[in-house]
Amino acid sequence: MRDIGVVAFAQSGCRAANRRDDMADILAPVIAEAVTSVGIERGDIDFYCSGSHDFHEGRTFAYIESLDAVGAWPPISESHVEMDAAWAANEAWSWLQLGEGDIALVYGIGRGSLASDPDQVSHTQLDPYYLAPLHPHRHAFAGLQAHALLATGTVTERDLAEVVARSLSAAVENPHAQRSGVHAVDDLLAQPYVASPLREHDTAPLGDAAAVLILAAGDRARDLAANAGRRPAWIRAMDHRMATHYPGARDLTRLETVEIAARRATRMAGFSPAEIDVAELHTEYSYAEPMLAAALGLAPATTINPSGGPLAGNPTTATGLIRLGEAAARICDDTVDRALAHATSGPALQHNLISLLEGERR
Amino acid sequence: MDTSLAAPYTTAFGFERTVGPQIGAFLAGLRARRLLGVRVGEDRVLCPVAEFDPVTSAATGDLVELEPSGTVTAWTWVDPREGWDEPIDSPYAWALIRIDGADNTFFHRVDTGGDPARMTPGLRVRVRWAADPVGSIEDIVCFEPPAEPPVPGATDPGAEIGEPVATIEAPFHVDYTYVAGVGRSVYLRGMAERRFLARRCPGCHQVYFPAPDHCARCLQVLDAPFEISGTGTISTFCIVNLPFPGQLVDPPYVVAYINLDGTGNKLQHRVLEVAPDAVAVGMQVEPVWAPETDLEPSLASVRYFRPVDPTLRVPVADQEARDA
Ligand SMILES: [Zn+2]
Repeated sequence: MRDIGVVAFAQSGCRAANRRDDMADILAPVIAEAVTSVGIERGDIDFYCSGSHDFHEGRTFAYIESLDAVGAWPPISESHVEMDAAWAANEAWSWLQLGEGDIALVYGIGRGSLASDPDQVSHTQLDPYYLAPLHPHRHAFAGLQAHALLATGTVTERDLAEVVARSLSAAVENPHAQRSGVHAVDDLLAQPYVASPLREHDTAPLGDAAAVLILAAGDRARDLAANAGRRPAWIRAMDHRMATHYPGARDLTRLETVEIAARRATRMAGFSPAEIDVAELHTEYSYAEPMLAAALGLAPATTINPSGGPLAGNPTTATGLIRLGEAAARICDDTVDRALAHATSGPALQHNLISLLEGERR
Repeated sequence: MDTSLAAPYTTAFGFERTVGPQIGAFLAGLRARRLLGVRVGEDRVLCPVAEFDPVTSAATGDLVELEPSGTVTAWTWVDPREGWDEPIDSPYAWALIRIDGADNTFFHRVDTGGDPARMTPGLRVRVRWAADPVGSIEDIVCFEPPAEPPVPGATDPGAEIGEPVATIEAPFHVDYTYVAGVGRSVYLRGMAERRFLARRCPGCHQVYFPAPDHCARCLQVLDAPFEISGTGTISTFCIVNLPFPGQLVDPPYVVAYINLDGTGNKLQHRVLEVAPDAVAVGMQVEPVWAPETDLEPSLASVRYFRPVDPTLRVPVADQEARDA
């Protein structure tokens, strides 16, 4: 395997509803920040890969507009995933692993605010015969999974409120957060349910934002990171697994896809999720944190979502990529040596991507 | 102006979707008010019926009839949504229900008359059928307690299961807000004033109409807007012969890429007041504006383009021009 690492990460603030900028205008300053920070020019980038979703944007091939932000003239080598941009990072990482180039730029743009009613969008990702026609509430599958988890007796509603309180309090230090603050657990528990046992604060607030990663290989990565006074966050492993689409066909209390992906990533990286210092988890719901921590086998001392995580801001298809960026940033600036990033897609944690990252001594 | 125009719009498709043979048989069962399961592997039964075993991916086997009752294994309690045509007026549960005799669980609503306290682990429930079943998952309105029929032994025998359902309606409807962006709002506001406002890139001197906020080639923020005449040259075109829903002009008519004078990109618009077979690449065209009262921040303020040369023009029917 080649050494492929994150050398730059930039993100826009997550806003509940950006009514000023088009896709390209949200992205352009974020791309410029990432590119400028490592001292390269557009022409140095071998590959672009992005993630967004037309159902959030409300137009077919909406992402084409975002190419105005990278300057696609003269023509560039690029690709796009119609899902969270964490999977675009996975594609770019694979592309670099294959030796197709040395520098790749990955961006995610997500606008959760354009659809007037998110419930009109959420069912479009479901089984079209048995689930979508019922138009379930967008939190329905999360509510079911949370209920099933609580019924096992391993996690309580208070635990969920504690996850929220810790996440929103961590987000106070995050200038990009859409939502943050210090909350007493008892105050949170006094709030009404939106989809029992979930309360509004247990659900990640949809918003608009963009995020950009620059990946580079080997000494090129070391040089680029050094230009910015950083070290590369080497992506030692990436693996993703998907469960069957019908929620009634799987045990919602067990994240087998996470277990398999983590096992395979461990073999690839040479270290396990139990040996990492910080984990950025794609927790669109509070209950996902204890589930993921257990499935991954995280050590109790692991710092989870120091950025505040998605509970502080959920710009749809940029949310998973931001996890990778936040985890990498803490290695790049020497805060920690090993980190894990998780991204998810589909209802009730159906599809999960695990990345293991590591820094080397400078 | 450093603000963007924004406007509501709706995307809707009236899709019809084909179903597989097993799902089609299951839906035909629902239409007859009968609940079918399907055998997989040695001794498992799935309900609802799947085409393939989610564990082994093998094709599923024989259909079996099941009693339309089961046990709730998990649920979430929700309020009906305003503006949605919900089949239950009071708060209800989305639940996973293990149908008696099945090994997986069934996702559907459970109605307990608005009382969340009646949702308990192991709650026994029974299907409430729709009044007019059509062969859709919505033929089940919901599940509800108790599981037993009101009169012991008085199970609804259902109707004869007819031909498997071949297609289901799968409409798509989402209401969105379009955010034009600060850049494109400049040209849109110009349209409402019968003005073509273009912008030039200070880096590569490309002139855009419509202009985004920054150059798509060199990423520099574009210079201040300036007015162009709106006349241009046909770069390429096609003759639309195909009718389609929502069409504004009766076919045949011409849609062209027009290189507006002084700009470096192409604008797509209709070319009318000309016989389609008289249109040619290189033809000079000019805009025809909507009446003052119909001007809006939209490219629709330009009804169409027409040849600059009056001898090439043929009159369009008044009705057609107004519709355009
Ligand atoms: Zn330019």
